[in-house]
Amino acid sequence: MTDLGASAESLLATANEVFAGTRHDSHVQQLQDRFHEPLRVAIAGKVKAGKSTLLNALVGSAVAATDATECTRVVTWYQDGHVYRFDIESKAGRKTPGIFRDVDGQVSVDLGDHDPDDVSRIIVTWPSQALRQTTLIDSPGIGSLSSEVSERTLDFLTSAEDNTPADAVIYLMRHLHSQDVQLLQAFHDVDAAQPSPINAIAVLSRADEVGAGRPDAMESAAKVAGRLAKDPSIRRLAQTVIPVAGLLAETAATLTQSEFNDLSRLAELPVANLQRLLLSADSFSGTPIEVEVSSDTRAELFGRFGVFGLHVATEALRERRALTTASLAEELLQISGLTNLRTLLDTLFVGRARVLKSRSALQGLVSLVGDSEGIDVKDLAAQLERVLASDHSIAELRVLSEIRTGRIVAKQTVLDEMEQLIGAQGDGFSDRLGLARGASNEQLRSTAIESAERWRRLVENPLSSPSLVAAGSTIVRSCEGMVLAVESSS
Amino acid sequence: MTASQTCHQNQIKVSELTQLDEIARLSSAATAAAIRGNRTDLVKRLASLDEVLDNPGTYVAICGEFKQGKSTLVNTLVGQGICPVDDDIATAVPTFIQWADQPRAWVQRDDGDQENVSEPLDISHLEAAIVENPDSPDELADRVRVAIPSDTLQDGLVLVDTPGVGGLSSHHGATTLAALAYAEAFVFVSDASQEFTETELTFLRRAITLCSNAICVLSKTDLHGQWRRILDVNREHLDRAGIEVPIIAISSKLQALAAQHHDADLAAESGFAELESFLTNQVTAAADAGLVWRARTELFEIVDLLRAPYEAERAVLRDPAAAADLRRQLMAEKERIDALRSTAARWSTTLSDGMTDLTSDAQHDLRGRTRAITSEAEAAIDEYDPAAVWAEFEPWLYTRTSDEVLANYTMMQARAAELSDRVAEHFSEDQTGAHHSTQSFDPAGALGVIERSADANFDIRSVAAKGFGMVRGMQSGGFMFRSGTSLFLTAINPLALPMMAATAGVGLLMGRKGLSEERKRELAMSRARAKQSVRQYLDEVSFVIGKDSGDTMRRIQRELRDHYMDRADEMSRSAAESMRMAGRAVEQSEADRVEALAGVDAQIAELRAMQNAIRHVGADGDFR
Repeated sequence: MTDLGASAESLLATANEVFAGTRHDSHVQQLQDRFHEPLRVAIAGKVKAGKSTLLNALVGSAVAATDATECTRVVTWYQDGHVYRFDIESKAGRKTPGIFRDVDGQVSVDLGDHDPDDVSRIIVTWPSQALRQTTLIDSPGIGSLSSEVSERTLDFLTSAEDNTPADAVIYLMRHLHSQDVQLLQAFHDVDAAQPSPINAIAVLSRADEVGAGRPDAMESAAKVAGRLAKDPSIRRLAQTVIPVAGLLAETAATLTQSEFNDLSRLAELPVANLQRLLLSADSFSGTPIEVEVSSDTRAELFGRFGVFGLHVATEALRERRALTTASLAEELLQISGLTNLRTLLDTLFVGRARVLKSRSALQGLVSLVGDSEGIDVKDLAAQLERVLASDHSIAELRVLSEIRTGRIVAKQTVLDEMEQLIGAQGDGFSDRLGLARGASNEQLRSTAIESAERWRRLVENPLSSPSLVAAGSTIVRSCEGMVLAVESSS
Repeated sequence: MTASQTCHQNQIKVSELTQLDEIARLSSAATAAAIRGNRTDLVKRLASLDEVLDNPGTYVAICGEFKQGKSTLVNTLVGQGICPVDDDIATAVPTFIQWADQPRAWVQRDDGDQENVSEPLDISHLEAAIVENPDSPDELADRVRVAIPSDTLQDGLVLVDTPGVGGLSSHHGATTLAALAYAEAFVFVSDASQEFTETELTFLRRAITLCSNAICVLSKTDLHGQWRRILDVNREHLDRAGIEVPIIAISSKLQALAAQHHDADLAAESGFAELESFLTNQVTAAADAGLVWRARTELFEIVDLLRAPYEAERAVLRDPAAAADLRRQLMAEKERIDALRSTAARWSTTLSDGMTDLTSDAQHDLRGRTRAITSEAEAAIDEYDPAAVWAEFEPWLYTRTSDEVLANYTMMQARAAELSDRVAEHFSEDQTGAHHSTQSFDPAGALGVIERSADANFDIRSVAAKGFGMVRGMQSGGFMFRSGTSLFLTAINPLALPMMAATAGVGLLMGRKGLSEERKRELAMSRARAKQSVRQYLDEVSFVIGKDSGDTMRRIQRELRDHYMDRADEMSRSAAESMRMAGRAVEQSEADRVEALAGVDAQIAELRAMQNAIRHVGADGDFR
């Protein structure tokens, strides 16, 4: 199996020569730079879906401003770097450094004299472990009442010079109905990377609100997410749907010692009193209580945790499941679903970063070749065509996309096995073969051989549908590739 | 709301209630007079008026996006867990909740052309009938009615819990909008997690044109600490959009707990007092005022008919010499009135011609609308690959179609009402002079100018009001709710379209460049199939709607004809009675006449007093 990354790299090099000195010179340079940069993950969704909140949770600090009303108004990139800084890039491509403001403990970027309509994006550089492997892109949502905000998002999504701004997408959606027109509109937000089950996962955000903040809210949300994940219209747009209580995740990721202390004091209250207190936002902050947590502090806590967060946090403290700030944060991250989301991002995106980035690079090259009047691109086009047609990683992605769009006729169990073998549940060999991580080479080899033989029989079976035969051949190659790789490594 | 406002509204409420009582009292007095006068036709008409007065039925629709807490709000208002509430599953069938002393429920299906079929339902099985069931969407009823003993509903309030499924912008949204045309008021629910969205404001803007009596409710304030800011922001949004609707914040959870534990503090925090005061003062009271006005005009007219024969008798008793003259006059009147009863009467021609015009105009309008949708749809199909965009295209098509169908119905309804007015005008022209009680009408100096100008139209407005009510009633019965179900379930099966190669992801990347001849051919085929599906669907829509509107038109025509024929019969009977009375008076001896005159004067005085009382009910808040 040839490495797609290597092919993409050599194609980019060829393109660099072909387009040198032409109008596309800088574009090729951009594609090349991008190939070596961290994976770009866009966070997309309708207005007020909780995009900035989730971004803060993933980064682990309050880097994006959040508010009860519509907040994010300009497309913002968050990337790793050595110093804290941010730059404002105008539509003309000019970058000017900006100034951070500290507003009520929240970092906010000040556009100064810049007209938001004239700003193409803000680039925030923020030293963070979480941003080392991925650059996160936050966008204002569609469906805003201020139409110019929606327009800015559309501009970003359809910007011509960089036709696929992101390599992968996290779609955020609030609780929606499967027959809801808006369900699909939620995905309209991102032409950023064309909707596809390959590079997208959907997050049921504000999951705690699904169950009205009750202590069992997340279970309810998991059921809803499970139902949505089975919906055919979602399956062809995203790999899976998982619930995340964004607000709690953000708070847990940025939990402070004083919050821990306040919560510990509240947890000492008799359970019945605490329940009464948690009836409503107003009663939580307004009712006089025996422990020393001021009314203002309680209002702040409510804003940070929400009803659900306060329920589970005080419960964890009362039952002594969490004894320190760090362990409480850990517990809350787990409950909020963020830990699960991070694992998923690692297996589905970061683990396949090279393939996803190559895919973006090839997409970029295809569009350059398509707009190449007056430039001799014959050789480049041929090479590109060859890679696209023969590369096995791309073939696998194509099969995945065909399964999800319902174009392969087979039983669901067969389709599920196919998805697994081509790495939809994780790219490692053990993930693909459905074995425990750390399985021995011998186990891997024998299982892979067994799968390869089974699929070969399926392909040769005259009763198999033509679509299954075509996809099955790719599966056989995937299995054979694994056998070879395991054999050569041992 | 300030204390003085609340106080003021309570006063209004008190006076409205007494007005209803007053009208009911006058109606029974009129019934007694009709029985004395042996007018069975008028007794029947009064009985149906009494029925309306007893069960006013004020409909209030609860609408809003999916999962905003509509059903919970309804449950909290009636103080019982009637509407199913779930984290995921949503209300799928409009649920009407009204008052009864014993709880009962029934489901209604619109089968066939005419009547809707009702079947009783065990109240414990409500949930299965109301919530969506992904496995068998076809089996849902068209609406569910529940009657329960609840103080909130005692004054005739009927709460309608609408499905939020599909979102406000879907065809369900259009169905909800259509239903609003028949509601007295609506409550728009949006939760405190987020400010109004574009869809919500668009819905509100359209809803308010169909039903202006509305209130916005910001729900779930217990869950969201920032609700006050959202409330302010929403208020600004409403201001900016020029929508003049009050907005209040509530928490159903707190209200339910408050009711359970009799906790006044919680009840105050829940904000329900304001919502309840809106329902009693602005909704029930307004509906009652409208009812009082309609009942007033109708009663007045009935008493007029009762009085006419006595007036004729009195005229002869006073001046027997003029009897021959009067007889001739009455004869001529009787002839004129009898002409009204013939099929060649002008009003009858106007009605049937108008209906024919209206039916053909409605069909033409519908054809124009479907044609516009077809060309828009085909343009879209030509621009994109149908297989790739079908998932978005299909809901668009349904929504677009519902909007146009709704517009078609609205047009028809307005035109039918206008026609009814025109018929009523003819009627009263033919009637002028025929009915001399109108001439002897006492233009009491106490009445102001405005009151007088209203009186000039008294008859027309009464006849027309009834006719218009009929038009409204007809439409709400069959039509719009049905269009939400049977029509749209005949939708095209998207799987009938072959999924073409180029959809998403890598497929697109591959396809964009190397679109071979074969692919072009496939695309052309898929486009042709998509267009055919659209045409088939719209054909089906035109057929169903065309049939439906044709049926409704015929029904309206029948009802209007019967209505005006009844009025003509009543007038004819009054005229005949007048002649009989006048004849009897001539035959009486001088001595008997004096005695008879006193009796007749007393009768007339009583009826006049009754009419005076009728005219004053609801005419002015200060009456009494």
